[in-house]
Amino acid sequence: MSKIDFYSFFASPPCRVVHTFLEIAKIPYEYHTIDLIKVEQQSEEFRKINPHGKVPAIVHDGFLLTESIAIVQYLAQKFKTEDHWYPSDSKKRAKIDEYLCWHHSNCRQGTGVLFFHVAIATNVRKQPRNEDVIKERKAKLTDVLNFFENYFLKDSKFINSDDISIADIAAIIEFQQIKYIGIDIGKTRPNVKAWRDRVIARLGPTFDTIHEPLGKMTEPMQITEDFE
Amino acid sequence: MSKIDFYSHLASPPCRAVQIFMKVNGIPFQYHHVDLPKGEHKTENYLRINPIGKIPAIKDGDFCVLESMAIVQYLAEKFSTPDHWYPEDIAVRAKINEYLCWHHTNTREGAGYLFFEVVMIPKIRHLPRNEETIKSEKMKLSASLDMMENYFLNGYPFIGSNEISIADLFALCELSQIERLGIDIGKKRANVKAWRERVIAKLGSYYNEAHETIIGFARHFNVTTEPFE
Repeated sequence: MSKIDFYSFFASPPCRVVHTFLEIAKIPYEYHTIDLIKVEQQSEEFRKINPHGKVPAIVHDGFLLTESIAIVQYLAQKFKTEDHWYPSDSKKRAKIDEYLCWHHSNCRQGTGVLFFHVAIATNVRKQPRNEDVIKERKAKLTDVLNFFENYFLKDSKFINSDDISIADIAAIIEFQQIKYIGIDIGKTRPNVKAWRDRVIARLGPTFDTIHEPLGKMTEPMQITEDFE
Repeated sequence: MSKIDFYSHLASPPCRAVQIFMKVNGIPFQYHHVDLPKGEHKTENYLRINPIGKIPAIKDGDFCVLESMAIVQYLAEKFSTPDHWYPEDIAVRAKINEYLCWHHTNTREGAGYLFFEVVMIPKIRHLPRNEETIKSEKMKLSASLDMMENYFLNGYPFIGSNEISIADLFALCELSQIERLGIDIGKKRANVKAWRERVIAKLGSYYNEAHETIIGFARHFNVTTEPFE
């Protein structure tokens, strides 16, 4: 099978989800940087590959696919990765799909927009802090973490499962992003804390390597955002 | 095979998608009405079934699945529904999954949230319209319809496919919500217009049946035409 052409940028969490899975599942790929800061996703060259103009995107033997979750589902099936990543048992899979659906309008909404307003809007674009949006997103994050603590991780070591899956990768990437604005998701939630440590241990050095550029970008900002 | 327990309120687009899927495929189910306006989804009884307190939910014996798309994907496999609904072919399935992922923060936000802002906020919560939010959601809706027109339906009679699938079901059930505001989604978008008619034809009487609740709801609240281009 030929390798995956992977179009990505380090600062995008969905890109890091795909990148992590490609690495951990040892899927052969070529990384193509599409610099979002330079708005390269709008370039004529990239639009020829992906008229959608978004990252992450993959092209595999001429087949174009966008949307990080759809991409990792495709990769798991096409490359027949270890079953726990995306189980073939219909009930086990249904519980992973349940999280993957919920993720878009919940986890991602609690972390991504918050990170943007605190780190990018304020620190990079030097705009005044939008306290209303920040407060609203923190409330969302609180709800999200409560669902993790009391439902997704209530009776299982990983999200709705006893073994790590693509659901855990999707979630941990979003939560790791807000670590760079000083938010510790496990501070008052023991299930979340244990899960986070477990997932990061399983993903190993790959996880740290993929986060290096983000760490370099945010370290000078020295942000410690209040959150319980 | 025993019946699926289905917890629902048909004013909700995701609930409609699940019901239509089950009816079209002859999947036996027991309907349990969850009275949203009375807050039944927040009661202890319901939270025992769905701790997230949302609808729809299903129970297959003791096995519970939340999230409408996960529900439909599970049922497609369990009941061996015709392949086109959620194809075995990895690449075709991937294009359907691509739409389903994109749907949450695009079609659903543009259509479902717009309906909420225009109808629920003033008519049920008795709060003034937030014109800024409404304007932003209309822009989202417009952008979503453009993506449908130019990407998902570009070269395909259905979303990313030559045959109807669960992607079409979720998309149309969401867009039908804002049709209650007098918005014609196919007015300036020929691919969307043709696709809509094709999907309704495929779903037959089950489509109209599932929409009776939201139509009655809109009538009851005297919902008027909302400007949209």
